[in-house]
Amino acid sequence: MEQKVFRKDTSFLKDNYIYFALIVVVAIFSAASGSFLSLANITTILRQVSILGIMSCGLTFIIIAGKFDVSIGANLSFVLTTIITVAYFTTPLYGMIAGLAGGMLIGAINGYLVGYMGLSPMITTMGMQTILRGVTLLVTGGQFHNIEGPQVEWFKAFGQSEIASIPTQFIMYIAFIAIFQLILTKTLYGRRLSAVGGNPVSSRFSGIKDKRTVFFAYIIMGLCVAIAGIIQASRSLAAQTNMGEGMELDVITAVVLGGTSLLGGEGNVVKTFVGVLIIGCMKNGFIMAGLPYYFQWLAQSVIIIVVVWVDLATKRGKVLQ
Amino acid sequence: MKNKVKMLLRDYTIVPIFVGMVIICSILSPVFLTIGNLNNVLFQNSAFGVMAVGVTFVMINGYRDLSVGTLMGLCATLCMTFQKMNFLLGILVPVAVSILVGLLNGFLVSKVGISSLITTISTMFACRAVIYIISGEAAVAGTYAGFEQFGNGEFLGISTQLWFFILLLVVGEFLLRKTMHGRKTYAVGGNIEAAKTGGIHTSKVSIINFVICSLCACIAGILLAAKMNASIPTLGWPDIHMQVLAMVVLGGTSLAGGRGNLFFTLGGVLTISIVQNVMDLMGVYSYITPIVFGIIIILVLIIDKKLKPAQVVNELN
Repeated sequence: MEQKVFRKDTSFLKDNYIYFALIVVVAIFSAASGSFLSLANITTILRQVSILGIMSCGLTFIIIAGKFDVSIGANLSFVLTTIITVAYFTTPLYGMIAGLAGGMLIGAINGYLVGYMGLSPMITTMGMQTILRGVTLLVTGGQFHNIEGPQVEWFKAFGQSEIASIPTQFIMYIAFIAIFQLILTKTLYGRRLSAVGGNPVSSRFSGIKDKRTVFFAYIIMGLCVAIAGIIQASRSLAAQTNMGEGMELDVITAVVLGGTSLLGGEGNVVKTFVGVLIIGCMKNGFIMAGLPYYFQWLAQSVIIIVVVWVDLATKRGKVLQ
Repeated sequence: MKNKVKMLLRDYTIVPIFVGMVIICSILSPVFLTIGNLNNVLFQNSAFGVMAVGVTFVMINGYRDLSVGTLMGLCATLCMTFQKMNFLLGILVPVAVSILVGLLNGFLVSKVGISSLITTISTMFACRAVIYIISGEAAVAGTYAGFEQFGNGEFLGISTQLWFFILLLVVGEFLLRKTMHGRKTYAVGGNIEAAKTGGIHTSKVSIINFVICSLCACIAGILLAAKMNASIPTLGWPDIHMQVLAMVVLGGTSLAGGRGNLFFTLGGVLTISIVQNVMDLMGVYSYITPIVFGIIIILVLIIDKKLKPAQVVNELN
């Protein structure tokens, strides 16, 4: 019997809608404000998205592994405060080392609790989030330091300099994207990550050490937070204890927009990059249009719901279940 | 007989925890066990208890509602804002809005199939945005002195705040134990597929529970607005939802769903309240409190895992 399979090839649109979305967003905002597409503004946007972007790379890995991490914002505040406080009493170099150690330590704790002990990722990282908020204030001891002086000059390079008129932090972000995409597609670890996220039980039966894979994913996340913290410390040179508040929503929106499915098992750092750009343009565009920052929360909430809905609907073939 | 005691102890872990905490707290602070202090604890925390009642319903159903904190703040802001026009509006608008939010949460979770965590995180931020849009980053003061008297007053020696908590506990437990809805809630939380096969309209049950939870958040918001006779934009932020979740989870209601009751929640609310109270009495820095809450949550998760390793908590729920 002959079977005719006839299906319109809509997969191109489904896979790449994110690029169209970016074009639409840029078009809307440049229509709303003439100076949106100016070189100065674009440079500002690139500068602003770098921190968000690096953290989004890490969270992409976590979500591919089928897990979650809500503590990244509080972790960022913690790392930032640690860097500045240590740098205040010693040198920026020790501050950086402390920040890297701190961020990765938090990642390791998360990874141990979620990966090895098998605790619920959401609730556990939510608990870590509240702990970190308190610990951040503990580190400052109520004092808000900022660092300055000639020995700090080289440290400013991370966040405040440019290479060929492109902000240094953005180049770091691009490097991150390249490295992460390489890890994801070309290395064994990347394969293991997708396998664990897709189906943890069967991956374990295939011989993959799923607990260790998840553990490392969280450490990588901690590393991303640490680097982001270094960049932010270099930008502000001051300890901001609530810097990361609300950043979780931005990062999750960017990753979800980028097409990484919340069900785990698949994801793409390059598309997350486009999601990050969209968020960055939105943030910048809202300010240029004169809308206060809280409108953005509303927009992001709606975006997340819509994007996840579309993702679910296309996967199961029905709008409602 | 011994097995039965073991099973009971395993479920009712909150009782020894609570008793232990009372003993520790009385040692840590001589003022703790006074009538005045205990009255104050109940007065300050009844609103959170009200929220915990609602969250318990959703959790038994197998889901989580993180939007309770900011929804509470939104209802407080709405109450204060609309009270200026008409006192009744100041009550009706928050109730209507919270029912809408509950319906939205329930619909997105049970009909669209989005994880309750993602849905309620989005709703949480949306509520927060609306608070700021309405109040413009300013506090809103109340219009009626009588309202403040109501919020801070007493009836038969028990504060009005506590009355609402007790009322909701009693009505809620009746709902859970004696009504069809309660039975269905346990069924859906226990095994949603089996419930569906058994003929239960699972999405209707879930939606009702999300509405119950949102209404509880609304009542809590109105109570808090009455207590302060004002609302501030940061009410319900940043981690009230964590505190309420800690209360419910500590009490013993399972994150996996299908088990739990409001007696557990009462125990959890009281335990967390006295922990906070004793830290205040000892003059501990306010930033230690979130650390303690977070550690409590993680410890409860670990103990839960050790006691019931076979229980699968569906993360994407």
